[in-house]
This record gives sequence, C-alpha cells and structure tokens, in this order.
Amino acid sequence: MKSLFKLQYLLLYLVCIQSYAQTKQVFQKVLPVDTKTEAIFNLKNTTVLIEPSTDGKMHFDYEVNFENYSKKDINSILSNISVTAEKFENTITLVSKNITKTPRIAIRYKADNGLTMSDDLFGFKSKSKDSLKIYRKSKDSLIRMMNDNPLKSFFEKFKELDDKGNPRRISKSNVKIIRSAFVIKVPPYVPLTITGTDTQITFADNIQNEIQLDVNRGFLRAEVLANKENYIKVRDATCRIETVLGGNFIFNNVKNGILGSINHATIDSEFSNVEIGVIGKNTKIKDFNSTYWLYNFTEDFERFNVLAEYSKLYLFCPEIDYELSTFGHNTIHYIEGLKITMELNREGKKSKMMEHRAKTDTPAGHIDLDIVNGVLYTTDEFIIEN
Amino acid sequence: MEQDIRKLFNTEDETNHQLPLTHRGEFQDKLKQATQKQKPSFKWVYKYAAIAILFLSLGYIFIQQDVVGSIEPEETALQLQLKEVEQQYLNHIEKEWESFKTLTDDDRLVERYEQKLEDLNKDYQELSLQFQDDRNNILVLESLIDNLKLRLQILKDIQHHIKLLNQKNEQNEIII
Repeated sequence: MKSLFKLQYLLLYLVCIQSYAQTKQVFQKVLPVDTKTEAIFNLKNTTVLIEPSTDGKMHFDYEVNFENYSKKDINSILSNISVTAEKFENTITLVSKNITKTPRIAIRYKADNGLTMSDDLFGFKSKSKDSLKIYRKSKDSLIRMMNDNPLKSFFEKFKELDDKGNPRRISKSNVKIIRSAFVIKVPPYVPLTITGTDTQITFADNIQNEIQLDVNRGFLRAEVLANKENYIKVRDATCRIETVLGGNFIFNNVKNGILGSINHATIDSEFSNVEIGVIGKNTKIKDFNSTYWLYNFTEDFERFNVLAEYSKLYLFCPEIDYELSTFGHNTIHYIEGLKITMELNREGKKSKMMEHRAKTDTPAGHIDLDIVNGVLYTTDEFIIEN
Repeated sequence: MEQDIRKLFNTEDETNHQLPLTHRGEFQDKLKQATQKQKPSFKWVYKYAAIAILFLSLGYIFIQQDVVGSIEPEETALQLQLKEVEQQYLNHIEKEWESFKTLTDDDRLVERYEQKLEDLNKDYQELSLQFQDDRNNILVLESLIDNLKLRLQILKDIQHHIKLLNQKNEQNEIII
C-alpha cells in the first residue's frame, strides 16, 4: 500500500506541475502628457491593447500569464522581452521587443510523432456547390466573425499523431500556453506613430487619436478608428475593424480582412481579401488583384468609387434606391444570371458596361466601378461563384 | 671615551672555554632536527596541479560547448514533418508558376507576381529562422504553412481569373 500511496503522491505532484500557471509583471510605467505630446511605439513580436485614457496620463502595463511552464522556462522567456518607455522633449517613445513571437495567446506543443492539420493542406478537395454560394452578410455577423478563439481553433485544427501515425486529440495538459497582455492607455489628443513587426495590435473602444500605423506580419483589430487623418498600412497581416470613420488604408496581402462599416475613407490594396459590411459616405477603393465582398450601403452613402485591376468584386446591390455604372476593359460582369463581357480592344480604352438608373430623384448615392481585367458579380440576394 | 677596539680582543680570554662531553650527541640531535625542518615542501606541486586541473576542466568545457555548437541539434518530429510538407508545396508552386507564365502575355502582371513570390519567400526564410530557435511554437509553424499555402493559392487564383477572362463572349452596354 505504501508504494501505491507514493505513486499517487507522485502523480498528483506531476499534475500540479503540469497545470502550473502564474502571471508575471513585465513592465509598468505612467507618464504625464499634454496636448502637444506625441507618442512613438516601436514594437516587435509584441501584443498590445491600446485604449483611451481619461486621466491625462499615458499608462503602460505589461503582464504575461504562463500555463504549464516551469519556473526556469518562465525566467528564460521573460529575459527575452525588453521594454522601455521614455519621455524626451514631449515625445514619448516606447520600444518593446521580444526574441520569439508573443501573440495574445501563444501555444507550444511538443509532438513526438508530429501533428496533422484537420483541414485539407493543399486545398485540392473540390468545393461543393453549396460552398460556392455567397450570401449577403450584415455588419453584426461580420463582427461575430472577428471574435474567434485561437485556442479553440488550435484544438480544432490540429491533431497529434500516435506511434502508428494515426491522428488523436491533443491533450490540453501537454500544451504550453502564454497569454500576453500589454495594455497601453492613451489620452485621445496624443497622436500615435506605431511601427510593428510580427505584432498584434488591438484598439479598444472609440479611438479618436490620429494614428500613423505600419504593421508588417501580425494582426490589427479595432473597434472604432475615428480620425480622418489616420494612415493605416497593413502588410501580410489580418485586419479586422468594426467601424472606420475616416482615414487612408494601405493593404498588401491582408488575409481575412473584415471592415464592419466604412465612412469617408480610401483603401489602396493589393493581393488582399476584404469583406465590408456597410459602405457609408464617400468611400474609395483602388486595387490590384484582390477580392472584395461588398454587402450593404447606408441610406446616404452618396458616392462609392472603385478603380480596380485584376480584381474580383462581389457587390450586393443596395436595398435602397441607387445608381450604378460600370466601366471596363477586358472584364466580365455577372449580373443575375446574365454575363456581360467587355473584351480587349486595340486602344486599351475602357467602355461603359452597365448602368443602373435611380428610380427616384433622390437616390442614396452613386456607385462607380472602373475595372480592367477584372471579374464583377452584382446581385440582390446571393451569388453562385463560377 | 674613545678607544682602540683591537685592544678588546687582546683582553678576551679565549683559552678558558671547554666543550661539554655530550656536545657531539647534542650536535647530532640539533643537526637531525635541522634537516627535518628543511625537508622540501610539496605545496607548490598541489598548487600547480590544481591550476592545471582547472585549466584542463575549462578547456574540456569549452571544447564540449564548441562540439555542441557545431553539431546540428536533432530535428524534432515537427521539423521533419515541415520539411516534407515544404518540399511538396514548393513542387506544386513551381508547377503553378510555369503554368501561369504560359497562360498570360501581360509582362507587368508576371513581374508583379514574381515580386510578390520573392517577398513571400523572404518572409518564409525569416520565419524558418524563428522556427529553428523555437521549434515547438505552433504559431510559427502555422505561419510557415500559411506562407506556402498563400503562394500556391495566389497562383491558382490568378490562373482561374485569367481563364475566366479568356472565355470569349462579347456583349456591350446594357441599361437596366
């Protein structure tokens, strides 16, 4: 019996070690600011949450939570993080770097026999006719899509291989997790210049600040970006913004781009996939070789312009009175079962392909699509992709 | 008080001193003791030995570290798996690239895709270095696979796009 007790004690001890979780404070600082203060953030392998500050000070509060990590490993990981925040001549400079990727939730897993992904790695599975159907989506449904859980998707996506190479579920107790929370509170009058590489940036609440942002690989998530002077550049990253109220957006290889609604903004994009829930006043898109899903329009969108090359557009027609004209050159327009093709001409000139006239004298706005070498789908309900 | 010190020697009586009978034995005992005290000390040997051992140990550690540094660490199952997947993807990407080039005569389009694929390859190399340092980080692994997946996907998509455009069927402006 004694040896059995010993064994039980040992097992309990191992379980305790396995589920060991603790939170460590990496950095904390408060700096006073005024209306002339500027802030520069230089981030690498860092995850930050930026939210409005109401006490006229800038707050930096960085914590990391470890699950199933030994003390030695925790110390080693923390030693790789370096953070400084200094104020010099009314400019606050934050530099935060980490040697390894530190997203909001980082997962490490030692698979002795390897892992397998549950989806089709090479994308060779033929799609069913139903999966080719594209439906109109609302802003709310797009926002729900933004809030995914990386842990859940990890357990769904990956399976461990056993000794014989058969897939089996991953045991959570063998997964090491790091949750990173670097909260920065900024008063709304402080302009921000942010450069991030392999960085996840989340803006919470209504952000009034003027933002110059350059994200290269990583993630940009925002609730409301409300400054018309914003300049947001996103490359090889995911971009999810609930509400855009102005600014210029440069997208290069933005994967799963979702904009809940957009107003008074321009987008210059290439090699991207972007879904837009609601198009509001004065929005312009200039694109090369991206795919756009444009679902709804506001009742006063006034003007929506697209200038595109090698692009694919899925346009769900406004449910209100509107005008639409499409110009093209070597472009195909699918409309309610009808196919309009504008072929190449020698002069390379664009021609008018289609016009939809308003039914009343006061339409909600005019949609102007100018497409070269593109494919355009317009519909009222759903689209079956070719 | 001045005096000639040479006179002092003249007054000294040297002949009155007699040696004791035991002086020979006492002398031999003293000699024995003196020779015992002057035995050669071997402490320096220990000192030098300790220093030599220290240097040898340090040398061994440095050599060991050097050896460890020069030998490639054993590849994990994930790394081996990734290598296999990577090769499969690269073969597919190469095939799709060749197929794409034959499908279009738009040089500007080919150039842009060439640039895009180069950029993605640079990113892949950077991510590979990260994965070498952090070999069980699922996130880096996902990024690597996503990068390969993306290269293949954009090449497939643009070919599908060009094929759609090449389907001849002309109609002109219509008004609805």
